[in-house]
Amino acid sequence: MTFDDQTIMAYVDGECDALTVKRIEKAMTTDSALADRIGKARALRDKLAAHYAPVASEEIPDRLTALLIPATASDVDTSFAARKAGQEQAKRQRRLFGLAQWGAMAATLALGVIVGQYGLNGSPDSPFAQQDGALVASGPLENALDRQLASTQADDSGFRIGLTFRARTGAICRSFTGQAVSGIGCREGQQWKMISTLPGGVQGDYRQASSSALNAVAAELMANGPMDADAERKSLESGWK
Amino acid sequence: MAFEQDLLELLPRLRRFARSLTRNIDDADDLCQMALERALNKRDQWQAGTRLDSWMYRITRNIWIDTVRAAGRREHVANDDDAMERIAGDDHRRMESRMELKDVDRAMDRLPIEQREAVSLVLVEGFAYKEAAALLDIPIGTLTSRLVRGREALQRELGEAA
Repeated sequence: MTFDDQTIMAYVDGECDALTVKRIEKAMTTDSALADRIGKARALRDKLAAHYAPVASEEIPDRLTALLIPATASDVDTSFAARKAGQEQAKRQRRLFGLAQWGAMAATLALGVIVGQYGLNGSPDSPFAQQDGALVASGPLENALDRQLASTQADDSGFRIGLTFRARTGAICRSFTGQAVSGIGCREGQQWKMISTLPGGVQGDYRQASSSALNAVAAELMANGPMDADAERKSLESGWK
Repeated sequence: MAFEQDLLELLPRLRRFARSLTRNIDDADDLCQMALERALNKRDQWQAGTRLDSWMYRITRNIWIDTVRAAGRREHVANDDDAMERIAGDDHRRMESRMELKDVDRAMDRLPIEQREAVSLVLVEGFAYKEAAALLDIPIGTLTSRLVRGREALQRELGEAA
């Protein structure tokens, strides 16, 4: 039995009816020319798919995401709340951002703010230091991230801790708000590496202003929900591991 | 909004689709950008419950066709000497840039547009014949004959290696 190109193509594309599939597969066992044609058709399909597949995992240029992100930003808080309820939407959203992207953003934002204010590694009061090209917590911020618990911190703390959570990378991360700068630090070795920072901190109620933006970022990063007071304390006692 | 959220999720696939149509990363992202802008403007026209991906692919494909046709028209109307020279220059540059393309990109680029879009939707994007035909507003028979011809050309171009 002979099969035309269209039938072979349909077979390779999974578009043949069951009867034709049976016939082709039976014929293939004895007809090596047919097997060869099918092999080639399949190889072409595989080659094309494989050639373009990497595009789908490329980082998406900002100019494209920018068209969609402003409108989604207001939604992130909802999904942050939804996350606690374990909703599906949050899961989908999480896939879209990587730590690296936020990290890159953090670096640009924070450096401008902090260098302007303290100079890098310049002052013992600087909340940030530069280490191996990364921005890490230092001085008062390091103290707060190391020791402060959201549940017991004083209202007038220089830096207030917001959320503590485990990121998808496995690291413990904590969000903080301060007068000049707010952000999220994640534990790396003995350091708190800045993942996200937002200029401008909080006047008055720390829950307002930048904390909602931070929560949005936190929602993107976290593996599960934020820790409760109990888990936060245990995490501190075990050295933020 | 869920709409933007869903578009965001579709973006990696749309970029892949655009890349297989245009072969050039900048053109492809320009195409995606135009498609997203049009989708956001015409969001009222999308019927919730229908497939957003098909709708977006259709928008993307239509913009691409418009762009290709507009470019073609420009080349045809230009007939004074200067313009001819310009086109010759363009062609030369295009040839040069073609040399740098990978085999598959080049082979796809040489396909007539109606074969390219069919190949792209089915072989690269994995749409079923029925879905691809609906998306392109053509009968299934037309789609499959374009696929057969497109594949033959690719097979020739890519040789035994394919």
